[in-house]
Amino acid sequence: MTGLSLRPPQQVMRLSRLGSAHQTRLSFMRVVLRGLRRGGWQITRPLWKIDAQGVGRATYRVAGQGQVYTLVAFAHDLPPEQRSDRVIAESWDATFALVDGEVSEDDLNRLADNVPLQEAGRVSDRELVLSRANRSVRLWDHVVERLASGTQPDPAIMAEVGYLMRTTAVYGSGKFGAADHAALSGRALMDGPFRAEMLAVWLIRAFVRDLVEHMARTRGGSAAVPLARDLAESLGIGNSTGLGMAPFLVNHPALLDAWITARETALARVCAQDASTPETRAGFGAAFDGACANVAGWHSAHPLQIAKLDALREDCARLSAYLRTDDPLGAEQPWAALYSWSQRHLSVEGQELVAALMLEPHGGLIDDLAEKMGVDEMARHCLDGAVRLDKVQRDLRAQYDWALDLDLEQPDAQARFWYVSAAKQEPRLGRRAQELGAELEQPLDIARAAQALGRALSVADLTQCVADFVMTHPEHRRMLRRLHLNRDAPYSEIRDNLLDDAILPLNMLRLKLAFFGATRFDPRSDRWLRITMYQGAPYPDDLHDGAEDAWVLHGGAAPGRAGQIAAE
Amino acid sequence: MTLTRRSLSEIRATAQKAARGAGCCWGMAEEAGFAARLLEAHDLAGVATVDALLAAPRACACAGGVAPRGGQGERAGEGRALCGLSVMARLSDGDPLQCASNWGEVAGPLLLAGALLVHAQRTGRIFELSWPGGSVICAPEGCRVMGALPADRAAVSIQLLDAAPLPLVPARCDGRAVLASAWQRLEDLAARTYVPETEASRAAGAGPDAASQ
Repeated sequence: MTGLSLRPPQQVMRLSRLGSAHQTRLSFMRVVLRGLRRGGWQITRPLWKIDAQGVGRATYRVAGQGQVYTLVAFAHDLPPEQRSDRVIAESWDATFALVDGEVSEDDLNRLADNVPLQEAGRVSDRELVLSRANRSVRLWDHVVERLASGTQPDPAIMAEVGYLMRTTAVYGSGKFGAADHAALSGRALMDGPFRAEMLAVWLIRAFVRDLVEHMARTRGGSAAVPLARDLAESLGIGNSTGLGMAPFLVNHPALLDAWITARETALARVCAQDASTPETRAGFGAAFDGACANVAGWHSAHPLQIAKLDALREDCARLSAYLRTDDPLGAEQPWAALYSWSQRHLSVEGQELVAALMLEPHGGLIDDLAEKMGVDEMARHCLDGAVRLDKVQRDLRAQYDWALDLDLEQPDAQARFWYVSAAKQEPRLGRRAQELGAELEQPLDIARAAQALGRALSVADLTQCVADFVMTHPEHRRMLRRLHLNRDAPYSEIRDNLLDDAILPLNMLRLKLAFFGATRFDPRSDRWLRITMYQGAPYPDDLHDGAEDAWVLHGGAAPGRAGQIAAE
Repeated sequence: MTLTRRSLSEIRATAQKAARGAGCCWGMAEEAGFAARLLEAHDLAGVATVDALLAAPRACACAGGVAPRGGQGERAGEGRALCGLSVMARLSDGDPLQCASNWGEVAGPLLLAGALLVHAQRTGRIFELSWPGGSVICAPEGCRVMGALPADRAAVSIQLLDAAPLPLVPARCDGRAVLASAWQRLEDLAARTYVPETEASRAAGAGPDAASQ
């Protein structure tokens, strides 16, 4: 489709907008579940060997389209004082590996020696994902107690937490010896960013439900009951996400561009539609109604999120009134008109919600873009040494004007520095004036690097080519590579100074998590948040039931709470 | 000779951090990671080569020496070989046949194969990187070492071939067996890029803590 008008990077790539992103039908969790359904994949549980203390192992086998994967789960008896979500934790309630293929007894024993150790152990090329999870203690104990006594847990308590366990890391792509991401190249469904990780998380969710029911049966015997289907579906897998995810967006610019381009292209395709149909109007309406209900029940204790949510609730009311009185979806180019209206009348968070909702009823038009979100980063690595420096200077001004125009001398502009701690290589954010280690800062200083390149070019022989320039100025090689990439990948760069005192790492985390498909963003500080994954989703035993994507929550909160509010 | 298995992702990440820890600027450190991964993917000793290079005195702009401006006739002086990483980057940035190959001795000469493999894949051309006693053929479909592997420093030359001898080693993505001693040295260098833990940094930290449970 040619002639599409994508939103410009100047608008899209600001952190404030990136940090207001919502999940869409191109989000990886949704792509995986749709793919499992459409591909007729089948899931079984060949092994369940968990004792009365909740310790043991289990396997979940996923087969389809000529492939087999197995989630191996280890349940542990974790002393409460050892429970921590930090990267530096050393033990967990449950640990997992997603294996490429079937698993033998020897595999299980090998994995039992390593998976519970997580970063301290080693896995093999056959393992695609390594992960771990901790209980939400309050909800876990409540659910076990209720199910053991033959009753269902309190929906209000369930809705307040939203998950029984939360993952604190989901490692793929060759970490700790696991298979390289290239191993999945060419495979139906699995060849795409974070597909293996999202499959693993969905299977972990199934394990968590099975484990809590097992513990209830252990305690209550014949009196115990399973978790009701609607309550089980209301649970997702929580996740505590901290700074570790933030540098990813800077260190993988080609991948970031691919994700954003796919989403923006989807939005542009929808906006280019001359008219809506009864189906697309109904689909948008249902998604919007769901969003309004969910936003009403989306709570946070963090002042940043509270302000966003207040604005979002007002946006929902405004949009609702607009849809009722003006019937914009009945007009020509209805989706473009709707998005244009949202830009004039809604907060950034509201605009991004509208953009996400507009994609919902247009699967036939946009779902193919999910297959364009992967990138061969090795192929995009090299510098174009033949370019003359006068062109480089022009490109720098055109593409990095946002950086060149910053005043980096004012006191707060370089107040922060990103670094890697010697403690388990945990990424951290420090205050330059108060903390040690700034001399070892990680290269997230894109604005500063762009300005340094600009200064070097201002005194250079501009008839020189890049290849000659970098021989005597190797310190600019990284920035030149980013500039070269950005020429053809306009969404590859976050257009904000990541060293500024006002930087909100939360915004970087939320963008990546929205692409994962996470909902229920719940910031706990400026640099970590809790989210929920697969909340509302089917379990393996009902994957093929119901309408596709019917489980999706828009606007991010627990359906249980939303239902409670609706009943009040 | 103890070996340890590492994934290509680990190889790239650690080689990059090690190069940075050894004093390379970030852009050149990225080249080290890229080259190590690419070479190991083709069964070439990328880890060992980067390890030897980072330990070698060499003429390099990052290290405060002279950059290899081969096109202008500069040579390595005073017993210092040219930095193979710098020469690899030079080859990568332009047409390898137009870059002068009269560099004198190059430290880590196998690194140059990384640039030639990229050019081969991009252009369909076949290159031969030669050193005393051996060479490596770099073709779009893979590579092949002929004769002995190069010493840690060697004079090299590059020529274009009409055809590649078979069989070629194609790129693979499975984990590599690398020298444990070389790997440990790279990890030790990478550790120079980490900030020592303090109670204050642990508390200010990165994210969730016990109080959040």
